Amino acid sequence: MKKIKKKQGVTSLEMKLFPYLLILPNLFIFATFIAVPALFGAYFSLNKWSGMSAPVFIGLDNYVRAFHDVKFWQSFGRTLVYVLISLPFIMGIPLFLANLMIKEIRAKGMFRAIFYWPSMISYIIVGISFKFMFGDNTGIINYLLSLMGKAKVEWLTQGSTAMFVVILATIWARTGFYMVTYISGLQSIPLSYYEAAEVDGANPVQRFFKITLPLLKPTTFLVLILSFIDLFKAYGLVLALTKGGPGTSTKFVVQYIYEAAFDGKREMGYASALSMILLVVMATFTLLQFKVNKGGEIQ
Amino acid sequence: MKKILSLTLVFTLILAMSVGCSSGDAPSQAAGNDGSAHESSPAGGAESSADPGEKVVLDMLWFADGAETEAMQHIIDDYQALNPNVQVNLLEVPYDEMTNKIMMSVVGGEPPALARTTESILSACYDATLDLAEYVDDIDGVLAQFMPSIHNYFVINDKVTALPTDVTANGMIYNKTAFDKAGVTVPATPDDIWTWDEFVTALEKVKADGGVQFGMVIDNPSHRWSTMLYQFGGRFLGEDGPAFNSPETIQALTFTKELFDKEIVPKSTWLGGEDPNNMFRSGQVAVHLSGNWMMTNYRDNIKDFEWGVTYMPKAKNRSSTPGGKQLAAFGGSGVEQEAVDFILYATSQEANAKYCVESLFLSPRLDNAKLDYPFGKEYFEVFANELEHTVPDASFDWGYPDFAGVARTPQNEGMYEMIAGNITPEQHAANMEKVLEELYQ
Repeated sequence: MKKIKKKQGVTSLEMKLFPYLLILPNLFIFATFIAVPALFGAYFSLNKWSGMSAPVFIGLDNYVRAFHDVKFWQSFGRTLVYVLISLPFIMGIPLFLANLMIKEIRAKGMFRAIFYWPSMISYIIVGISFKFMFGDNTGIINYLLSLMGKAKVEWLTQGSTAMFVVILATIWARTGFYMVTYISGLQSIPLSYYEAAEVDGANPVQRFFKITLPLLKPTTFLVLILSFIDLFKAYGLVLALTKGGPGTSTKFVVQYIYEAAFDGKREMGYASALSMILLVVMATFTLLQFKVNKGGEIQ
Repeated sequence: MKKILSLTLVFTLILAMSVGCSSGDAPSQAAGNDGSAHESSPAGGAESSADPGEKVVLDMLWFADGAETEAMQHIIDDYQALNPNVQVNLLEVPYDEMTNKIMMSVVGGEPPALARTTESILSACYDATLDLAEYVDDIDGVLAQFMPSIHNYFVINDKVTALPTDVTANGMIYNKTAFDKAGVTVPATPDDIWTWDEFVTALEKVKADGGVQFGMVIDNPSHRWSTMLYQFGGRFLGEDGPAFNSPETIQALTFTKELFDKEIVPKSTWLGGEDPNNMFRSGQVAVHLSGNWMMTNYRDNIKDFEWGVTYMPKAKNRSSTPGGKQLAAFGGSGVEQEAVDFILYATSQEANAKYCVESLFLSPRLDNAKLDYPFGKEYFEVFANELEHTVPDASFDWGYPDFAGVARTPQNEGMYEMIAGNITPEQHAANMEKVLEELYQ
């Protein structure tokens, strides 16, 4: 008679260990490329360091200087303006598109791909492409305007229009990504709620505001946090599109920090201090959002 | 079974990442060198620790504007034929990234053996370069072979940080077809040189009748625009302190602003990020205030119209802004002596002549003053003449230690604000004066 090998169950220790093993690769990457450099950044922020010679400890001098650095706070202010204007569009347009994309329409997959495709393009390419379109003298849009007998628009030569183009490029580049996030959120809402509301006589607008929006709160909160951080870190797209110009009209805080580190006087220590300040400000904003939105919980 | 497979996959992934993220073989270290690039170099004449039969690899960071990469590769091929145990790798890096690339390599403990530099790059990196005086027996004899006016570009705080491969001159490249169409003749000899007012009048005529949209493009508000500054009699630095805030400078700034206000120079180039090279190449502009390094680029890429080089106008002075490229070697590479040997070869008379003729560059060597260029001989005579009539302030400013690092960004930003009408020329001059004081502290 064959012995039947008894199948062993999963032990309690294995149950506890296994999830950590699964996240270990990501933790390793996070530690190597984010956490450790951040700690080094904190260390260098207390030093005067050009990147070539040895760091010299100067305590909090870099932070004192940063708080008096008018240009840094001006770039911070510009970034805030950019974020506050872009955020409603980056949250609203993807939600609108997601609502369309979960309906049963023909070629739904193709439309989803078309809307998602821009988010797969590098920010640098997006910036170059928009520059190709909006260039004052070499851009397609002004060329088309000239063919129609209209005066050309100084898209990238005026501060306000340059900011408009940067915001437009940002919205175009990020809409698809957040649309997909919203789609997954919308699909998790039970259809029975809508059916019950329809039976009760609720119209589509009422269903949206009374059912969809409240039940979408965790997803909305996620999009808010991700897009806020993403917008605050804007650099590649702006660099390719305007290089922070005209003048400093679209020079945002990350570009200012980059230039402090790598252009001009090469003050890596000072730039590290500016990065730490940015980290604290963004962490504070994020925590505030957590508190106000109660962590995205549905109430 | 599934558990074992999952665990195996997880550990394989971790192992693969660890191997993938690890650094390559460490470069061989020269005897007595602890690999720290900023510490003093070994004594002169020190040899690499590599065995004579071992292949020595020299990585050279390189940027290019035109055909000089191919020209340098030919020099490398010749050198490698003479020195079979040496291999020189050209690693191309965009110009804007060169300083960062050098810095990151030095900080990372793997400095390149060699790099192509400009005076701006050396201004940022001279701490990390070798002092060639410690590797060459008769450094004074070597330096005497090069134009004295550019020594301060690569001899920084008495340290011979590099040797020059070419000297550049800012100059005026013009759209011959547009000028001919407008019936405007450019100065044929230095005696006919226009004043700036006469030049602007000519540009306005070419803009109106020459089939171009704009009169002039200027590459940037710092190095290129400083040519106008020197022509108006201004300068950035004096012996004892900044000298930017002067009537001559304000006159140059005011004149420049007028060029933009009258749309002779398009604001979109400085304010909107449009590339002046592209605009000139596309035939939209009458003249390009650029320099001799664009010769091969325009020779190879401009097919729709004829172009040429003409004398720049004058105000109080004639002047160009000299520049140039050099080859520098870095401490801590482990192949310091071999790197210096290559620099000496590449900058020797014969090799340098070959390189400059092929690249259409001006040679910095006194014994290569007259080279037989296959293209644009007459243009080189114009550039050489511009250099001959360049004021000493130009090389004093741009060769001053840390000048480019301290001045470039504030100068660019201040000019943008001035062109946009947010500050006056007087305000910009005063602001820059304060910025430049840092150089004297």
